[in-house]
Order: sequence, then structure tokens, then C-alpha cells
Amino acid sequence: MVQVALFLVRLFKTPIQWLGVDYPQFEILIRTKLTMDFRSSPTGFQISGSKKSTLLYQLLTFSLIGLLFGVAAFSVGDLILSLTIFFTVIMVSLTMTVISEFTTVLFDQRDNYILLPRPISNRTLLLLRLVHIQFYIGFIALALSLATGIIVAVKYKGIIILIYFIAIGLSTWMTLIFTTFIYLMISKVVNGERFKDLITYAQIAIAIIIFGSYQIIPRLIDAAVLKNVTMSVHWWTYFFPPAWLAALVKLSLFTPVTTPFLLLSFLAVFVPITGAVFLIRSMSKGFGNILADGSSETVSPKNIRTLNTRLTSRINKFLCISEIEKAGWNLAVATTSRDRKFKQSVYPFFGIMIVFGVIILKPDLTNLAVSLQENGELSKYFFIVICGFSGSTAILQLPYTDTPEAAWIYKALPLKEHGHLLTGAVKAILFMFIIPIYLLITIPSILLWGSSVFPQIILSGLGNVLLVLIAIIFQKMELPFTQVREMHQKGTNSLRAILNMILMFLLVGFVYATSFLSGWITILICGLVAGLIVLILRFIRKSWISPKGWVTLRNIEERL
Amino acid sequence: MENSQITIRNLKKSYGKGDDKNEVLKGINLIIHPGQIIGYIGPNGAGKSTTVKILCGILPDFAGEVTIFGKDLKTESMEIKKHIGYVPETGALYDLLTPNEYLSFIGTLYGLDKDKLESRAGNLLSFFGMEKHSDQRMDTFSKGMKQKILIMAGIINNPDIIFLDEPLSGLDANTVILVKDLLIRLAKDGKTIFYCSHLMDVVEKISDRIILINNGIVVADGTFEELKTEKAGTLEMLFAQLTGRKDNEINTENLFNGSHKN
Repeated sequence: MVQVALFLVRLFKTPIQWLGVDYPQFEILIRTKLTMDFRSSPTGFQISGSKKSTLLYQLLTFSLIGLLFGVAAFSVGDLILSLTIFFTVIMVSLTMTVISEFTTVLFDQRDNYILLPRPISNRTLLLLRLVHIQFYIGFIALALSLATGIIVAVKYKGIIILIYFIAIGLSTWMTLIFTTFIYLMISKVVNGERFKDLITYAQIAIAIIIFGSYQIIPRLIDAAVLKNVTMSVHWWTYFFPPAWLAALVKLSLFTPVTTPFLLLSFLAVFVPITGAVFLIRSMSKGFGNILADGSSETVSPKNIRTLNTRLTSRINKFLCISEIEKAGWNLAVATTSRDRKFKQSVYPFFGIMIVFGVIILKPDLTNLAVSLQENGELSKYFFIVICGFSGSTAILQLPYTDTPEAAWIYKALPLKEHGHLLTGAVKAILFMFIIPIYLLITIPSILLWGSSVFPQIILSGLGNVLLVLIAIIFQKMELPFTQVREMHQKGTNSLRAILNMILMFLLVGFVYATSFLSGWITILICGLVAGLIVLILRFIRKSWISPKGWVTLRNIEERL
Repeated sequence: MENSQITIRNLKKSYGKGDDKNEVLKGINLIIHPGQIIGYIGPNGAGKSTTVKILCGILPDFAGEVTIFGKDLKTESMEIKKHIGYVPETGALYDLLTPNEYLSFIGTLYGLDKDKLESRAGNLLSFFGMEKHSDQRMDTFSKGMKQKILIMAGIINNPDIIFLDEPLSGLDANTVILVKDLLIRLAKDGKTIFYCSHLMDVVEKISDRIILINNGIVVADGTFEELKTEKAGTLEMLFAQLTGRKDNEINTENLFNGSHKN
């Protein structure tokens, strides 16, 4: 895998040098980074499966999702329109992945003490990070586009398949440099600590804009018309990268093309190249400054406000069954509320869920209350479920940390019930992320749709908790803050989010079905679900101390 | 000024802004000549590591003027970095690599050719008694073994100035002697050693010049003999006197007479 990546990098040796990058340094850097990515880390809390099988799993699952995208896109008659839709889906998916998974990699400061004292230019460092990320999102893009590639190859034959995959490569590169460009523009306005805080909000904003546009634009187009329509070029098409890429692929059919399509194809090649030149040559200094800002451990000492901690520690008395569970709760509250990388991985999904909510409810701003009241039954239950679902993303991030070595404490302490730490942390995250959302939506929902939806709101909340707990068991979640944030895992996290989303759709159906039952029966079901939650929590606690449990702590001894 | 290798004028560095502003360096002035072993000492949070990070180009944002080899650090840091070495305080290395791979990686970043690199890496590994571990992954190494690799990586480019931040941390007694001898030998070859440590006896023994900083300013600067006659008998006593912790024994007593006993 590393050799393949290096072969591809060597193809671009001359353009890389044109960018003002020191090529020998760049090659050894990328070689080292990739070599390390593919060597399994000997963490005491071993990740399930090898890195190769993780990649294979990602390849298969993303390919399956890509097949669905491809079939949907190619239900449209016109090739160029099909490809435009397909590339839009690919670019949006990749942007979301870059924002939620790879922002932390882009601005990773963990190896500052290794790299910054060496004579490495900012240009070399920026290109290194971009190419390193490109390798992973390129892999995801390849998997997503494989099925469509086969459809295109079979249907159109010839050189088109080659150009199609080049276009896929260009789409990932454009996605990456566009996102980085936005981050670096923000860094020009604000510096240092403030940038790190702002980046989290920028992630949410970008996520909302990209995902919102992606969801809303197709709704403005009549689906029936799409089947027979051919794409015409408007002024805005020149600002729409998926259309450029589609035009480039169409060009390879050697059919007569008009000047606008030639121009679009030209943009598909020109923009990624000039964008890279501009980014590397003109904006890398800002990137270097962002990295250097993270080299200061002596930031201003601040007294952390303890109000929130006091509140949560009062509540954990009621929700936790043991002192160890309370310790797990307190650790999760303190760490997640201060860990920027945790926030950067979790918050964009809240943005996406807001967009989802808006799309589902389709509010008419001129007559908001009436339009919301008139919503179909399914959409309102969809809305209620999806709001709480965003909390599950936070749970998925619980095992990850920059300091997994600190996990020695789990072994050094005279502890047997490690599972209590996990359930305590899970309860804390549920309390912090799911309960506030339900408190927020309960009153407006009852006002809009009447008190009859109350049992469904409760059921949605409990159902979301149940889904999270099932996911924890099936994913064999590790103890909190014991896993390093590894590159090869990034795609898996996105994938898990997608798979959890499928479970969520089942929950929507279930909640909707209960709306046909009497409220009391729904309350009874809620009671059963609550009982099931208690049993599953007990199972998780037991699994962690039982030799038959999914993880033991034996390997940590090797580290001590 | 003449023959100075490092010139620092009114060096200031602060973190944060407004009410949160924390001024770590409040105006450091130093002139350092080639071949000196500088023991740069001070209490925790005094600004030692910040000074070193600035001089190594890790923190490019600072106030004041720093020239190294007559070059301005703000504008010519790339050129300066080619001729300096750095041994960080934290165990910052890519420990999924082997020592051979890591040293080769660092050497390539300095533009060393393959033959020179292999020869230097081989010599250093042999000097530190690490040849038999040269192809083992470093994630299995002890703290001391990793520290040896950090020192090797810090000098593999044959730098003219070597900055070391707590280089003896985690090393056994024999290796401490080895490193002390190495530093003295490097200084004899004309290399400048800029050395931060909390090990007062080591600093006292090997340093040509001791610079003590406290709260971001230099409070003492001279040879140990010069400082000793003025203030105290040992560097440890001098340190305690100048940094305001004369009451260590009282504090310990208080701890054991107070809450710790309950």
C-alpha cells in the first residue's frame, strides 16, 4: 500500500518541485507517515482486527454505498447530468468526512517537536498534510466510485473509465484544497487559541452549508422531469465543480461538444492545479503559524469553571450505581468538555442534524406554526428521533484521545470493574448530549402536535439510547480515552455513523408504528425499552470483568 | 558582540491576550560565544523551554531580536535550522519506527547523503550501546532508550549549536556519564551547548557558564565560581536563594504535620 502511494507521489515529482516544496524531504516525510499508519500500534487496548482488514471492510462497505449512489444517479437519462449528480454526492460525502474526521489531522501538532526544529519549509509541511489526507479520502472516494465506474465502463466503453477515475482523483483534491482554503482564510482573521476555538464553529457552519445545499437543491428540481431532461449550461454552472468534472468525463467519449462544455472541462483541470499552487505558495505561512501556536504548553493558566461539574456530579448520584461508574462519568464530563478534537469530531454532526430536521419538517417561513402543524405523521416522528440521534456520534468518539498512554491508570489502580468506567462515561455523554436535546424539543413538539406525541418523544429518547448501547456492544467499544486517533480508523468512523443511521431509520419506523397504538401501550413499551437499557448496561459492566468479555486489559501490562 | 554565535536582545514572549495574557519571557538579553556549555536553569514555568523553543524556531512569534550565526531568526530561520540540533524535553519521536529508520528519516530532512547518514547513525548507535536494538521498533523501548535516540537525532546533522531540554531525563547513571562526556567533547570541538536541566549537580560540573532565569528574566549569569562566591556554596543553594524557595524544609514539615497525616 505504501509503495503504491509512493509510486503515485513520484509521478508528481516535477509539479511538486514547482510548488517550491523540497522533494527529497517531502518523499521521506510521506513515506514515514504512511509506514507508521500501517504499523499497528501496540496499545494495551487493542483495536479489533488488523489495519488491512479495516481497510478491506471500509472498501467493501463504501463500495456498497457507492453502488446505491450510482444506481440513483444513473436513473437520470442524460450522462452529464447523471455524472454531475454523482460527483455532487461524492464531493459532499468527502467534504463531510474531511470536516469531521481529518481537520484534526490537518492541524495535528503532536509531531511539532520532531518537525519544526528541522529545516522544513511551511510549503513542504502543508503539502505533506494534504497528500497524507488525500491518500485516505482518495481511498474512500475510490471505493464510493467503484460501482459507478463499472456502470460507466460497461455502458460507454473506451477511455472514459480512465478519465472517470482521474476525475474522481480531482474531486477529492478539490474538496481537500477548498476546505483547507476556508480554514486558512479564517486563520488570517483570527490567531492562535481563538482560531482553535473558531475552527469548531467553522466546521459546523461548513457542514450546514454544504449538507444543506446538497439536500435542498435537488428538492427544488422535479424528480419526474429529471428522467428526460438534458443538462444545459447556465452562468452558475461555471461555479459548480461537479459539473466541471462531469464535462471532463463526457469529453472522453469524443462526441461533438460545445464550447461551454470544453470550458467546464478546462476548469476541472485548471482549478485543482492553480488552487494547489495558490494554497501552497501563498498560504502555507499561515499554516505554519497555526502549527507553531500549538507548540506552547505554557498557555495562560485559567481556572476552569466548576459549576457545570458540580451540577453533573449531583446528578450522577442518581444515575450511577457505583463509585467507579461515577468516576467514569466525571472523567468523561471533564475531558469531553475541554478536548477540542472531541468537539471537532462531534459538533459538525449536530449541524447536519439541524439541517436534516429542517429538511424533514419543510417549514414555510411565511406561516411557520401552521406549516409545522400540518406536517405528515412520519416526518414529525422522523424529526423527533433524528434530534436525539446526533448524541450517538459523541458516544462513538469516546474511546479516542491524544494521550492513550495515560490509560495505565486503569490497570495501576486496584480496580476490577472496568466496565463501570465505560458505562459511567456513556451515561455522562447521554446526559450531556441527548437529554438536553429532548428537553429542548419536548415543549415545542407538544405545543405544535399536542400532548399525544409525548409517549413517542419518550420512546424516541429511550430508543436512541438503546441504539447507542447496541452499537457499543457490536462495535466492541473500548474504554474511554484509551485509543489513539489513527489515520486508518478515520473512514471507519464515518462508516459507523452511516450504519448507525440505518438503525435510526428503523427506529423512526418503530416510533411511527406506535403512534397507531394507545398512548398507554406506548408508555408500556417505553417501560420495556427502559428495562432493556438497564439490562444492557449491566451486560456491558459484566463483559468488562468477565474473561469472556470482548476486551481484557492484559496487554496494558506490557506497556507498564 | 564580536565572535558571538547567539545574540538575544530584549526577548519577550507572552501567551494569550487581554486579561488572560501570560508574559513568560520579560526581556532576556544574552550573548553566547562558540564552544561554550551554557547551563540554562530556573524553576518550573520560569521560561527555559520557551526560550529554547524560540531559539530552535519552533515558536516563530516573539518580540525582540535574536540572531544566530549573524542571521536574523525571524527571517532566516530555515538557514539557521540547518546548523542547529535540538533534543526536546518530551519524548517526541516516531516510536513505530526503528532507530535506524528514525535516524535515517531525521538525517534525510537535513539533506545528508546516504553514506554519511549510515556512518553517523552507526557511530552514534554504537556510542550509546544501541546497535543490537537498531532494527527494533522503538515503541517497545524504555524511556531511557528513547532518550538516547532523541540525543542521537539531535546531533546527527553535526550541528554547530545543540539545544538540549532536560536531556538526562530517564537515563541510567552510566549513560549520564556518557552524555556528560559527549557534551564536553562536543564543546571542545567548538560546538555550543545550550542545556536546560533541573539536575543542579550536573549543571554545576559541566557548564562553562550558568544562566539562571526566574519569572522570565535573567537573575544570575556567570561561571559557577563567580556565582558561588557571591551567593552560596552549591548551585542548589544558589538556586533556592534566587528563586525564593528557601523554606522547602518547612513546607515538608507542614505537609506531614497537616492534612497528609489525617
